[in-house]
Amino acid sequence: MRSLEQRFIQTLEAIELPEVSLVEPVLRELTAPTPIASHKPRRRLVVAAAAASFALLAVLAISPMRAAVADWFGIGATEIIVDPTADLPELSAATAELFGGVVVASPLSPLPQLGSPAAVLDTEPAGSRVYLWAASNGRPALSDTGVGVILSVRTISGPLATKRMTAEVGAAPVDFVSSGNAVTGIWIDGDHAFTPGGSTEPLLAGRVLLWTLGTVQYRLEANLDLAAMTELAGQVQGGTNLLPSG
Amino acid sequence: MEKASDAKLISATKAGDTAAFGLLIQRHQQAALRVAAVTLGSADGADDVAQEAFVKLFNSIHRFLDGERLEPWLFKIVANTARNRLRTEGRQRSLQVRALAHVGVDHPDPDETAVHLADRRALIGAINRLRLEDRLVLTYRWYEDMSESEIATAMDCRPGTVKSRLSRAMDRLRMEMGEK
Repeated sequence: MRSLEQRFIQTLEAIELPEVSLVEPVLRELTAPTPIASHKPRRRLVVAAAAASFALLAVLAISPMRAAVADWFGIGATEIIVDPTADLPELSAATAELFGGVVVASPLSPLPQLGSPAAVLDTEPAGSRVYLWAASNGRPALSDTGVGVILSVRTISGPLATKRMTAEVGAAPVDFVSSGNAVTGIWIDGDHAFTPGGSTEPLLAGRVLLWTLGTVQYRLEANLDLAAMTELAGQVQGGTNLLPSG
Repeated sequence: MEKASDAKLISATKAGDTAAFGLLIQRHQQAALRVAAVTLGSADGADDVAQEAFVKLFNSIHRFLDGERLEPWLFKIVANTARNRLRTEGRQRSLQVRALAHVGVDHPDPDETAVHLADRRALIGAINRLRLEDRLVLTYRWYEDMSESEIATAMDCRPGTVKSRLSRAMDRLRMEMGEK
């Protein structure tokens, strides 16, 4: 008698799959001319001239694991890529998957000034948690999502996330205090493409402040200026307790 | 070049050799289509998903570390691409098996053939009722014979959780088949 495993294998063998060759359509798509108005992010191009302007950011701590990659630049588990051809993904229902994942109950208020979050989600990559606060008078909505503030926390290990923006938006170092600790973070003052770690699907992101404390990486996104963002970041409470347990 | 290992083809692809990438596609497209179908819950659209996944793979191949197997990486991209499609579609799907499939089955007795085909239909029904994560972990372990660390890469989960995920998936499949 065949085991369930053997039967499973034979059943999967019998699944009706499309009888196609993907070689030609894939190669055709890869070699097609790039439409000007396309929102698909291009293959990464590290621009030497733009990279030179980030010499000051060399003071940022780089995880030893990442330092082995020759042209890696960023903070914690997020790589920064300045790409003059960077296009923005469209904001759509699929982009809202940033707010997807699994809804969890959490008694924590990581940003006491904002009160309890409207929703807490465990998202990808594993070990990531997102806290959301609704838009209000003092917190304009991010695009048309109805969300005012996003605080994402994850460990600095795990798959690398990517932020890709034009030089006009740029990414600049900023010193501030978070949870009583002096930190140097990265401030991205505009729309850019954000690809979460482990994902290959870029999402549209707005103004973001990134920083790390110990093994935790924080990502604060809101339609606020730098002063308001660093004030919020200064209040973050919880540390590793903000991460999913287990 | 045609008998080159995946590692050699990946190196050549990183250097911009699209012909080498074409050979990689040829070698792995059936597996990609299957993972796409399992994730989507039907073969409908599996070719679009697999095509998009290979394009994404090419665009991220520079991140691929030498010595790593391609499959976990490819399957992760395929499954994520299929998931994105499911989110925007939100419609019901189900996998179908070939009615007269005799792959790996040698039953000269027509009654025995009928029993096996009935079992196959029951099993595909049970697979269709499983959660996506259960379908994937069983496919990766049983069909693709991937290790725990490779499954962890493909499913973007901690390696220590793979064994328990697999065990639960097997239990749920048995329950769906009424074998527990």
